[in-house]
Amino acid sequence: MTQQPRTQSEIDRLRETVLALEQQVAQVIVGQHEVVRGVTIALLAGGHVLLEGLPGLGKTMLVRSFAQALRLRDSRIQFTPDLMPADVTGTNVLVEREDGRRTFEFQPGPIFANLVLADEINRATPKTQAALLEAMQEGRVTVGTSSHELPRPFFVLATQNPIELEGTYPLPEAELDRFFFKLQVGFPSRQELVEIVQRTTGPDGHRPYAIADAQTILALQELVREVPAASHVVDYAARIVLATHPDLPAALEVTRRFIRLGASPRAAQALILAGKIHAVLAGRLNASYEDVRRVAVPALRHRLILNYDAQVNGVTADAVIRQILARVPEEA
Amino acid sequence: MQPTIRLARYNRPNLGEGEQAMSTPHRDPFDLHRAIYEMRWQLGTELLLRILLYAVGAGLIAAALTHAVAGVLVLDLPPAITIGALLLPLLAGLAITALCWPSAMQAARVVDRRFGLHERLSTAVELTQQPESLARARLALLQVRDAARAAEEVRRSWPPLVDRVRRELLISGGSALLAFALLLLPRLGLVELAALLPWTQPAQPGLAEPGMVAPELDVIEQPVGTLPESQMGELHTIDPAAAQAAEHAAAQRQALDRLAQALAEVSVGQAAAQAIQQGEYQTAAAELSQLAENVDQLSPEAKERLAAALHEAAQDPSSQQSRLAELEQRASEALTGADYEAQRRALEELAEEIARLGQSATDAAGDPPDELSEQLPTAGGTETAGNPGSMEGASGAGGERWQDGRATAGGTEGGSGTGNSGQAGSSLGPQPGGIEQGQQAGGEQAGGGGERPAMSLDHATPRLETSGMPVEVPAQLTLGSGESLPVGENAQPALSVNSPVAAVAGVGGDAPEVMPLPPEQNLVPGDRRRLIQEYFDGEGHESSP
Repeated sequence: MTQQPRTQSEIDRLRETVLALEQQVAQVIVGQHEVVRGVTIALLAGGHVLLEGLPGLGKTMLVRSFAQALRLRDSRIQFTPDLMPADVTGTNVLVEREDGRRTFEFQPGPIFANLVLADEINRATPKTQAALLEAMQEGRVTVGTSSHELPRPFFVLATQNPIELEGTYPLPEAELDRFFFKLQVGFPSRQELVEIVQRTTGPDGHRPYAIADAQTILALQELVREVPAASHVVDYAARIVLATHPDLPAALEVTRRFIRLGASPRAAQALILAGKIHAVLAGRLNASYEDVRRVAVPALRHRLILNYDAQVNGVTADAVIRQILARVPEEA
Repeated sequence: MQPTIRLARYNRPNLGEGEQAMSTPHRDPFDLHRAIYEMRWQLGTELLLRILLYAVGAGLIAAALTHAVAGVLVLDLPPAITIGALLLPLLAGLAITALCWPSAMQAARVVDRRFGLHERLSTAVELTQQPESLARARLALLQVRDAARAAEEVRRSWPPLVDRVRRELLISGGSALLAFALLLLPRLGLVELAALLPWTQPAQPGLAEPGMVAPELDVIEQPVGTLPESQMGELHTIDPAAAQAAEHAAAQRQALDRLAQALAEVSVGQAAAQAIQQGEYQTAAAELSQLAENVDQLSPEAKERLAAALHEAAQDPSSQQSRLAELEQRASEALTGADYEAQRRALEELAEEIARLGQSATDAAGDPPDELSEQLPTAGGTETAGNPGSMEGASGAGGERWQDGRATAGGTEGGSGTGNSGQAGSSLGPQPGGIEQGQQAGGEQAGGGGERPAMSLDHATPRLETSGMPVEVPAQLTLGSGESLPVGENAQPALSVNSPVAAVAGVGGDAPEVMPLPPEQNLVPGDRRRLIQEYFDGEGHESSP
C-alpha cells in the first residue's frame, strides 16, 4: 500500500520548527551556532551527541535548553568513578505489597527520560559506561531478565572534558561509535562572552518556550528519513568511510600514516542521514555531496582511532578528515 | 569558469501545495525529462564541437609536422598522407563523440555540477528512472518538481555554445598558428641546414653537377653526342669517323637514358636509374642484378608498372640500340608472366647489357681518335660554351684528353679540362681523386706552371660564384703534361677564354695577355672560329702535338 506523498506544508513545518527551536535555544545559549545546529540535526536523526568542551561553556545549559524548548522529559546523570550501572539504568527493588507479599519491582533509573544529559561521561568506569550501550543503540534497558523500553524520543547528550585525564576512563570504541555526532564546544568570542555575562548576571534569566513535543519530534524524524539521496551521493559517503581504513585498498596516504582504526558502517549511515537533514534545512529536498561534506567532521571525528604517529605529531582527527574529504573525488 | 546560477530562489522552493501535486502527479517527471533531453543535446553538441575543435587542431599540427619532417628528410609526400593526417583526427573525434554521447543521468550530473544544483537533477532522474522508488519515497514527487523547476531555469539561462567552447576555440586557433609556423620552417632555412645531413646528401656528392660548374668549365662539358645539328654537321665535314663515333655514343646514351627513365618510374628501380644517370653503369648493373634476384618479392603492381615502363623504353622509335631494346622488351614480357626464373634471367641479361654498354663507353673514353681529340675542343669551346648539359661518358673522353695534356686549346681550355677530368673520373674511379687529379693536370697544363686559382669541385663551386665576374685564365699554350712552352719567340700569347678576339689579336706579342671579361662573353663568335681554327691548324700548330 503506497503512502500518500508528502506535501510542501510538511516540509515547511519542519523548517519552521527547527528555526524556532534554534531561536529559543539561542535565547539562552550565546553563540555556538554550529553546536546548536549539530544537536538539532542529531535530534532529528534520532542520534546521540557527545559534546566535548571545557567546563563552564554551557554544555549542561545547552542540553537543558533543548529539553525545555522541546517539552521533553530530561534527566541528568553526573558520572563519577563510583557510579554503578544500576545508578544509570535502575534496579529491581524489593517491594512489600498490601497483602504482605514481597516482590521485586523495577525502579527506573535516570536514563528513563527523553533527553539524558550524561555529564562528564568519561569519569565513570567502563562498566558503567557500558550500561549505556544497549540504551543508546536499541532504546531499551535490560535489568536482570527483563527488558524495559525507554521513552521515545530518546537522546543522550554526553559531555566530556578533553583536558582532565586524571581519574578518567576513555570511552570504549563501541560506545563512541554509538554517538551520532561529536561536537566541539569552543570558547566564546569576546562579544559572546560579554553577552553571556550580561544575560546571566541580570535579574532574571530567559526560559525557552516550548516549540514542539515528543510527537512532533518523532514525526519530523520520520519525515527527514524520506528525503531522497541519489545513489552516487550514497556511494560518495561510502567511499569516504572506506578511505578512513588504512588496511583497505581505498585508503589514502594520510590514512595509512595517521589512522589505526577507521570508521564503522554507522559512520556512513550518519553521513547520509545527517546529509539529508542538512539538505532539508538548507532548502533542498535531496542530499548532495556538499551536505555529506558539511556533516562529515562531526560524524567521523570520534570514529577514527588515530595511531601513535598522529598523537606524537599533534595531528587531530579533524585534520585527517579534512584531508580525506579533499582527496576523495565526487565522481568515482 | 563555468557560470553558476544563483539559486537563491531555490533555497526555499515554492513548490506549491501538495494538493496541486496530487492533481498532476505525472506532470513534473515529464517536464523534467523534456528538459533533460534538451540538455543532452546541448551537452552532446558541445562535446562534439569541443572534440572537433581539438581534432582540427591535432590534424593541422599532424599535417604540418608531416610536411616539416618530409621537408627535412627530403621526402616526397603523397597528398593522401596530408589528407589522412587531417581527416583521421576528425573521424576519431566523431567516433569518440558517438561513444560518449551523454545519457540522461550523465547530462543531469554534468548540469548539477556545472550550475551548482546540488545533485537536484541527478537525484530526480534517478527517482524517475525507478518507478518503484518514485512511488515509495513520499518526498520524491516534491523533489522531482523542485528539480524540474531548476532544470527549466537552467535551460533558460544556458550560455551560448561559443562561450562554452571558448577555451577549445583558443586551443584550436593556437594549433592552427603552430601548424602554420611548422609549414614555414622549410622557408626559414631548416631544409637547407638539413640538406647537410649525411642521409640527405646525393649519392655522389663529389661529382660535379652541371649547374655547379663555372660556366667557363661548361664549355666542353657539352657531350659530343649531344652536339647541335650544326656542330654535328661541321664535325662531319671535319672528321666523318669522329662524327660517327659521336653519334654512336649519343645513341648509347639516349638508350640508357630511356632505360633510366623507365626504371625511375618504379620505386624498386630508382637506385639503378640514378646510377645510370650518374654514369655508374657497373653500379646500375649491380642494382638491376639485385632487383633480378629479388624479383619474386615485387608486388604484382610494381612488376606491372616496371613491365610497362620497359616496354615503353623498348618501343621508343628513336631507339638505335637494338640489343638493349630487345632485352628491355624481353624483360617486359617476362615481368608480365608468372615465371620468376624467366623474370630473373631477363633482368640479369638487361643488367649485363648495361654493364657492357657502360664498359664500352668507358673504353671509348679512354681511347679516343686523335682526330676527334684534336677537333672537339675547338668545336666545344666555340659553340657549346655555357651549355649546362653534361654527359659523363662523352665528356669523360674529353676530360681524359685534357688530362693527357694534349689539348690543342691548351691554356684556353685547360680550365675546362679540369671539369671534364672530374667527369671522367666519375665513371672510372673514386670521384674526388679523379676530380683532383684532373684539376691538377688541367691546371698545370693550362698554366704551364703558372699560378692559377685553385678550383676544387669537391666544394661544388656554384655557377653564381663566377657568373658575372671576370674570369682570368692564363691562356698560355702548353706541350702537355704540364710542360710549358718556351718563352721567347715561341712563346704563345695568353689566350683568354673570354675574349678570343683579343687573344688572337695579341698573337706575336711578348707578354701573355689576360683579358678580364664576364663569363657570359666567354664565347668565340662564329665569324672568328675560322680564324682560330686556322691558328691551330696553321702557324701556331707547331705548339700542338
